[in-house]
Amino acid sequence: MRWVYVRLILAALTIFTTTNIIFFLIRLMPGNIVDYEINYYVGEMGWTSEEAYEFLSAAYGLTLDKPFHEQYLSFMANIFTGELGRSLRYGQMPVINIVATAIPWTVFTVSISLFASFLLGIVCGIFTAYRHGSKSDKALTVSSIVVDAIPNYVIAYFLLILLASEWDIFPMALAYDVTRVKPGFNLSFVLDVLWHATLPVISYTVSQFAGWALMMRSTTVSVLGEDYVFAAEARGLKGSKIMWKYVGRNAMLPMFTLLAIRIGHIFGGSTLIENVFSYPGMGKYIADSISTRDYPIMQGLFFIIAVSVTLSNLLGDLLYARLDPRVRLK
Amino acid sequence: MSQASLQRLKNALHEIYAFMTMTKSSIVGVIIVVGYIFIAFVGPYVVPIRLVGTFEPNLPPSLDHLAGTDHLGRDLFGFIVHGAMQVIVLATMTSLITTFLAVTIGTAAGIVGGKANAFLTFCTDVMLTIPGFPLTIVLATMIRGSPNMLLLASVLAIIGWPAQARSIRSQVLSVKNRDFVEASRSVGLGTAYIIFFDILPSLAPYIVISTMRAMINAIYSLVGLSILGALPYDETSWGIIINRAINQGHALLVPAARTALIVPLVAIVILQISVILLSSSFEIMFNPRLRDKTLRSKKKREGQTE
Amino acid sequence: MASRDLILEARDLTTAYGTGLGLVRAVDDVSFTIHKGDRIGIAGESGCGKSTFILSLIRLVPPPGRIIKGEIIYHGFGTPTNILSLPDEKIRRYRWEEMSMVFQGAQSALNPVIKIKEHFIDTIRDHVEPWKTGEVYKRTPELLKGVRLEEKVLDMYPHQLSGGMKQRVSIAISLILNPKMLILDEPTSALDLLTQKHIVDMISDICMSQNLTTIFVTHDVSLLAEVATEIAIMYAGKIVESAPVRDLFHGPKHPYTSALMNAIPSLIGEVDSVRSIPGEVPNLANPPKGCRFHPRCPYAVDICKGVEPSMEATGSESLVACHRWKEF
Repeated sequence: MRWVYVRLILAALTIFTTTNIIFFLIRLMPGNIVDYEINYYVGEMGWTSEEAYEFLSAAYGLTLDKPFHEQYLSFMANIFTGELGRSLRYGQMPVINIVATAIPWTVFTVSISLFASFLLGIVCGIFTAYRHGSKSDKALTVSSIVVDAIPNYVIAYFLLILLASEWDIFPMALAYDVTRVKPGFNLSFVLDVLWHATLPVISYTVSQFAGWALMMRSTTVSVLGEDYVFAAEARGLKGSKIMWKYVGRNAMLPMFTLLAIRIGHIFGGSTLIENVFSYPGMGKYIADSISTRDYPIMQGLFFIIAVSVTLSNLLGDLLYARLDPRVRLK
Repeated sequence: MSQASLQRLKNALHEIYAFMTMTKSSIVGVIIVVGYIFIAFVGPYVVPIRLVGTFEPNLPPSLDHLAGTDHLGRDLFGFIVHGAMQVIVLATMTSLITTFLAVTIGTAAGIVGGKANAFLTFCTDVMLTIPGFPLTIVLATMIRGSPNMLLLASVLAIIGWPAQARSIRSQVLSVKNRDFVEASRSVGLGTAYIIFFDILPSLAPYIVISTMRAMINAIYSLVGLSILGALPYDETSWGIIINRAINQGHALLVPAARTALIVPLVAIVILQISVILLSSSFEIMFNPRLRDKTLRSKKKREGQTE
Repeated sequence: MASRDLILEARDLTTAYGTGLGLVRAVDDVSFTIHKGDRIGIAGESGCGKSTFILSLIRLVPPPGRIIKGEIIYHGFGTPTNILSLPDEKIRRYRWEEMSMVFQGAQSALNPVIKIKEHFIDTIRDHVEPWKTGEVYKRTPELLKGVRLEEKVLDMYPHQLSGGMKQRVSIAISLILNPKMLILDEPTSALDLLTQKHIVDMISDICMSQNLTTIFVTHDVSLLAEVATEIAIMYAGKIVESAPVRDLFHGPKHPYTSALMNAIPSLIGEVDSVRSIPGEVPNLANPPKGCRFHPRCPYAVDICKGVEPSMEATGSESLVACHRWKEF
């Protein structure tokens, strides 16, 4: 159990570091955006310092006219209470509201994709490992390497062009069709959501699963050489049981060490993929905030994404402990 | 040049040639990458760009316009050619910075050990879990005011170095206890010598390969960021071409306008694939087991018996 | 020979690794008979083919090795069956139901992510009809007692057990389906001396009380002395002598066997009466012509260098492959 506490502390520290990074970037870095904005509002827009300070303080969740350490403390306190600032462009809408509407969509698509790509990767990995050295293995491995290199937005654009624009099988944008269904637990809404989510999910999954498959393949190949697999065969266990319970479960474990990086990558990829499909998740709002220079939104969402990634990693680690008794019962 | 060094040069060239022609994919990889580099550096002098639209808009690729035209009637091939240099130079710079950071921190952590190691490892782990791409977006927009290639490359390098540093650290840890390092130490050679002449050379293959991986990630981030409009741009940036195609050329709605969208995507994909093929070839070259298998099957194909 | 039934026969068994010029015959044209209730010890230097031989008996030679010649006739099914020609599903059942095995270094024979009891359950489930599995599983506590382990071991994971405990678990698992034959590959080599003694005692109890047909491969002389009824000596892929235990120890007929005896230090003998065997184990890809032992044999003569000796009976149950055995 001690191990769980260590992980929790690490997670907390990560989030803490992230908030510090944000503060550093928005306040401490020379030529930072807040100073830039102050100059803009006072210099070019003709506001008074007080007006500018008030507006920007609310926007960034700081207290700008106070000394730095007070700014830091007020910033931290605000984040803790969920005050992530206010949009500079959308009439001072609290960032937390935007997060609340966007987060479900991102978490929805990203988690399905993570799950799907992991599973697909495992199956493909085992499949190719068992046929290690054969023609089909070589062909699949080379194609996996190639697919892995293709950026996820490229896949997304191609899917969009082909399946949505050209062949009109899937919708081109958004999470659901506002003109036709009403949100709620009705079947038509759920189906519409799924239909709209298909292309984004496919994009994530295709761009991720090759990496999993290649990793699974190499861990499986080494597990296949282990004594306990040989012993299982000697005991006359059924091939399928050996493949899943003896080989699969052991080969899967090292992949969890990479899970952290991968989860970060998929959440990060959400900015680009949601942009392609105009899918109203966190990534899309970050993408929009770039062109509108709405920095509070960008920061707030970055923070939330960081928290989501950290929590997902924690979950992943807990899952790993569940699966590998050697970690649990040290 | 003396006879001996001439011979060594010949051997090196022969090795390089053997490596490049090792498998079909390595040949393809080498050709394409060299092709891109050529286009990037020589192309701009050969192919003109016109920022003002003088041709018919939304033309598909043809002999006149190898990459077609965009919605404003500008020749796309010229844009792609001029934009290639940005991509290649930036990606190379980024990957070099990433590798440098990763090697420095990873080696330091591995060699020094103890508290310093724990601290560095902790920092690396924390950096690993902070989602890289959104962080890069935040950073990139912050430096938008001062477009400086080196600064930009450093920003892009921020997401790559933790993962690489971690692998390097674990490799350093395992090499540290190997016999030849022990031998150097017992003869009294200093730490600096051991680092630069024992440890790093044995890590060299891995470093080369992960630099290539870093390049792929750099290209991904680079183009991704410019699609989002987060980077200082000019009209030849591949990501901007995509951005323009969608937002202004309405490529998603107007089939004819798709050329401007597809062409840069294809250019990116081909580049990524060839870099990956190249890195796979390096992997085969450095891993003697894989190399023997590949050479044997190559000889078999060419009719030599085992 | 009616009182002792045949249970397994190997005829001209040849198992090899590699291909073409590099073909290594780890087991070369070996023929051997095993009767019910026998406890046969196979001894020999490293690389003589003992492990390959027993792996061939359950048809589990790891690639790139394969059995290229011969038959293995099993008599436990009623009618003699060549197990080398059995289809995959039948051989899967044969393994563990008829013949089970305890491996060398059985420490790593256990799946690290499942509990000990799962190992038993998996084995039972894949062999026994679903309605009988509960019944068979009930034997487990008894088996564990037989190897001096407590029942609570079942709920533990492999990494929580010591090397000796894991070895004992492996022995218990090997008996769960009441096989007719048990093979042990160096059951004591990876353990410390004290544990070795315990394991030897255990194996001795189990085999003798259940009259189990046993084959064990070992260097351990105490194991051979205490448990075996018959010993077979292997050299360079061939069996060079086989005889009942007493006869072998007191009157070895093959020069290699006597050399091996001399190489074993005795507690009461003089230190310098221990002699190692000069020379090296031959390269199995290119073995010496004639008798394989001739380069290292102090009694080699011309015929030994040219003609391979075949197994000749020296008594009612002893065999030896040497041209000059009569002179010894």
